[in-house]
Amino acid sequence: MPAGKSLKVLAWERFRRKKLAMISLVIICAFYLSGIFAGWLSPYDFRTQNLDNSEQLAWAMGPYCMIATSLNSAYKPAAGVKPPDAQHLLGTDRLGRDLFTRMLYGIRTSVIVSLASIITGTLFLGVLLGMMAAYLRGWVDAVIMRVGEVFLAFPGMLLVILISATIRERVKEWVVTWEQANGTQVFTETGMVDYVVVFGAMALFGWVGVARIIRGQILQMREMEYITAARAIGASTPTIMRRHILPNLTNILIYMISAGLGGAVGSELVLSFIGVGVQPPVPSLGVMIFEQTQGQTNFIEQIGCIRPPMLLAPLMLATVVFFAFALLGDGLIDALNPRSNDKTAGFRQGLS
Amino acid sequence: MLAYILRRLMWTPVVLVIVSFVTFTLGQFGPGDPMQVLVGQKNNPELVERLRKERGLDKPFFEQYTNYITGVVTRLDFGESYKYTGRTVNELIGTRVWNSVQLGLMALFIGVGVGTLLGLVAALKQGTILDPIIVTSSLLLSSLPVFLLQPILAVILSRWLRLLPSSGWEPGLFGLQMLSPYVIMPGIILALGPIGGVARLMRASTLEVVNQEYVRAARAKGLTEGAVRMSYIGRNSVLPVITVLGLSLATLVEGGFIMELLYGIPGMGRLALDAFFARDYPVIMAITLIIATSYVLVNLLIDIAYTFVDPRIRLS
Repeated sequence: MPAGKSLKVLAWERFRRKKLAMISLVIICAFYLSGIFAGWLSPYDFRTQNLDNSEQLAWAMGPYCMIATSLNSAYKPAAGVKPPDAQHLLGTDRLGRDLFTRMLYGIRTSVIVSLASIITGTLFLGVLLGMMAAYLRGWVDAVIMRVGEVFLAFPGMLLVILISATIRERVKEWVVTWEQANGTQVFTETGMVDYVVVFGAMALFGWVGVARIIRGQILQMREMEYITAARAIGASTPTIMRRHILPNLTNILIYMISAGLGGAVGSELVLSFIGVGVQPPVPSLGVMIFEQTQGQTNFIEQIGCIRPPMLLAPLMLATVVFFAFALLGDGLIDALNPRSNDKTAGFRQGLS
Repeated sequence: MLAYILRRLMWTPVVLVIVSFVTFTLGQFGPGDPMQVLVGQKNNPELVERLRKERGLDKPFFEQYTNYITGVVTRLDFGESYKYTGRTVNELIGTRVWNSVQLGLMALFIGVGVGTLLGLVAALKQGTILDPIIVTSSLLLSSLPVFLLQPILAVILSRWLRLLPSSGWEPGLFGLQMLSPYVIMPGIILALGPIGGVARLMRASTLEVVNQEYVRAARAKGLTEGAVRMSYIGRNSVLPVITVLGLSLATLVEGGFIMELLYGIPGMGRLALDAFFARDYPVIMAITLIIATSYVLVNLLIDIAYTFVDPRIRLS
């Protein structure tokens, strides 16, 4: 090991050598940045409709549509749909809304939901409860772990469905009454209630795995000699936590954040697709995919005609982002393991 | 060992009672009176009142809950559906559970089988181009969204090649739907996630096992390479895969819901979503309880099975 390089620097150097993982990191950063700056990146509003369809005929006769119309003569493009051009980079959807803008705001939804659920579920609840269980032991440990077991027994998606069917409506009623009393529409317009319900439900389930891993790691660590040594020189428990335990957890936390974000983006997509996540007109990639596939059994029509940008753009984006998350996670596992150049079996097993 | 199993078995009903209680309470929070919804536009207060009485909905909350639980535990009776009047939840769920289980089992077979094989090959061929190809392609496949795969496979396999039905659910060999062509496409798509996970895990654990002394000893005593790979490397490196089976159960159940929607399979997922939109709480309750019970029991079974496969592990 070259002198003067910290483990973090070494890990970063190992990571930087992995081209695929680096590219993935860039893609994911771009995804998050475009979600955060959606409002600045697009000149349009995601709700503005433009049903002027004078260009439709030209579009319908265009090369995209040749296959579709030849297969199904009854095919007619929906009103409002426009092909991609300089004003609308991806064209418009059937209500004449700019598709690129809707994608950006769909990304924003993914970004908000995944970040919020990771911060509250993984980082806050997971780490805190895991540390409490490992450090306080006794009945605290027992209660936390048992409650975790109950959460693991719940079929997560069903509970989210149930929560959306029940609590969401109640919360919406309250919010609407509050808004009417205060003469504003800020929460219903931004879809805040949906975000809270979706990420809240995901955070509720996200903490268990993290807490278990953190607890396991700490239980292992506190038997280590350097902890005994720190205690021998009189370090207090908070000091040991901060100086010796937490720094050793960063690697596993970085990995869990990466995996958790990817998982949360995927869950939001699926939940919104089946109709229990974010509700239209709040844009979400899942809702966009649902709107395009709904009632369309003929994929040739989707692929061949109006659909390419409308269906393929959110789908391809989702594919690229999921793949990037998978590659990033794989790269991180290899790069963050300070021991051995063998393929980190121990570290992986610690995660499973 | 026996004490551990007994303790887990005693804990299981407690978990299920908590799960059922939470679900039941959530049902009470729902907007609107389900009976009002049932009566519809007519809005006849007398009728609503009578329906509530018939179903015991006029009783206090705890009494309703205990009645429900006693019904489930003693008679396996999940009550009557709100949406389909006159039909019991058992009637609605019966065959659908079996359909979902068949789809999940098929996906599990494909996922574990293909994943184990891929991981083993990747590890044994480490250093060749085959290893990174397998690793990257299994990552790519497991990150493809189903919404992309479903139409593409439908076009290629059903429309152009006319090999498989694009959707539906009919019995095949021995009257089992899981042995019919209808299960192939959803089964494969559902298995992609587990394939990726299992392959990576299998690869990592194989790489650990190949360097063990007993593998070298087996080679030294002149066993054929095939025998070493089968009984020494493969058998030992497959152990960690068993632990992820429990975890992939959740993926299979929830992924199965989507498959049922996309492929028109009459399973629990479809029923759950219909029930959700119709506020049919008895059906949602029953599905939640059935799935929760299966999660808990399967994980217990896996823990127990693990001690038999790997005698080094002693549960305590």
